[in-house]
Amino acid sequence: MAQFAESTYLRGPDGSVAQVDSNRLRVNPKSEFQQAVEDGRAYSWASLDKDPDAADTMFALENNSTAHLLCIEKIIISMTCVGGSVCPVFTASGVTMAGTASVDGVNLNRDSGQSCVPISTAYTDETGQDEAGSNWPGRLYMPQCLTSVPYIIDVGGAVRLPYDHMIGVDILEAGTAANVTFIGWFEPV
Amino acid sequence: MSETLTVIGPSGEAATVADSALTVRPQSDFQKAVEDGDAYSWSALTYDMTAKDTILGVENNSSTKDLHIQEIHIQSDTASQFIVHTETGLTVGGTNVVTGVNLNRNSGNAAPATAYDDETGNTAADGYTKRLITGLCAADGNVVLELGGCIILPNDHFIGVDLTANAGACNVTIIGYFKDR
Repeated sequence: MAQFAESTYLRGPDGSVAQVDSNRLRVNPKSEFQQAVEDGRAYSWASLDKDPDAADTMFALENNSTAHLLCIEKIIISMTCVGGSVCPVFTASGVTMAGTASVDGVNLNRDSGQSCVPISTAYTDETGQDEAGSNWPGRLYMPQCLTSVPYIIDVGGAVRLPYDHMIGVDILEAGTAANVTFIGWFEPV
Repeated sequence: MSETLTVIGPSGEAATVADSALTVRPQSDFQKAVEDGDAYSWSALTYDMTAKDTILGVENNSSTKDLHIQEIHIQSDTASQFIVHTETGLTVGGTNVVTGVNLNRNSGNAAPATAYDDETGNTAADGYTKRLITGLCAADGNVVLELGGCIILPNDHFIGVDLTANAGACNVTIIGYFKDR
């Protein structure tokens, strides 16, 4: 049973008081991703168009930081292929990354001078692994993608890659064009 | 011994606790910006483009507020790769000025930004090194990128959307909001 009642404001360090509207306390949830964007720890890796063969890895990204987890926020998969194709999304580790074109991450906070170039590796047409040969034991998603319609997976940071772990997107069928974008952030371990 | 604590707002209104839960009103940065009259839409009219045109480009001209990109909508009558890219230090120009429209029609605020369709002040097509998002758009297709404000443009920074194919008709809309730095 309450001994006494007290009314209080919720006040931030700058003196701002939290609003109450229609008896609802106003809150502004901020995700880990949003915090990472503000801190300049969030990046986009976007591949340019390629002409994929069947079972190619269209794009892959590896974490090279021992001090951070690489958390995946969003994956955007596009490909042109008559009838569409399944595009396995998978993880693997211990891969020596290689491929056709390396892709540097671009910081999402353009006011940040931070770069992820030393702590990540990304390649289009990645050839350093053959996960397809063993049916992608680290498969996460098996989306059936429609031709020329971006398939967007809102991962929300649920996939977390430690050092030397990679994420890739394959295509089962031969296509004529493909793009993949990974959006993610580095979270200190 | 327990205490009863009532949380009140600046006007003295108390927050409700019902069914053992505090009643809250989540409000995102975007929603707050809309309420404050700081959220805008820049929407290009349809035009007949050539390959690698920048369909729409928007530059932040505010030194006190960052421009956060909330959504991008892309349409084309021709199948094409699309590229969302960023640059800084441009002299923004193009065919038509695109004036940001305040999403809160009760606000008289104007966007501290410069936007053009068929934007020609950038050189992103030379390799697209600062590309943020790439993908493919089907003929007569519609691509919606929900970004939740995760691309942050400070003063003099720019965002543009290119199609790499030669399309007969295309449109791009960028929705964003300004937030104090």
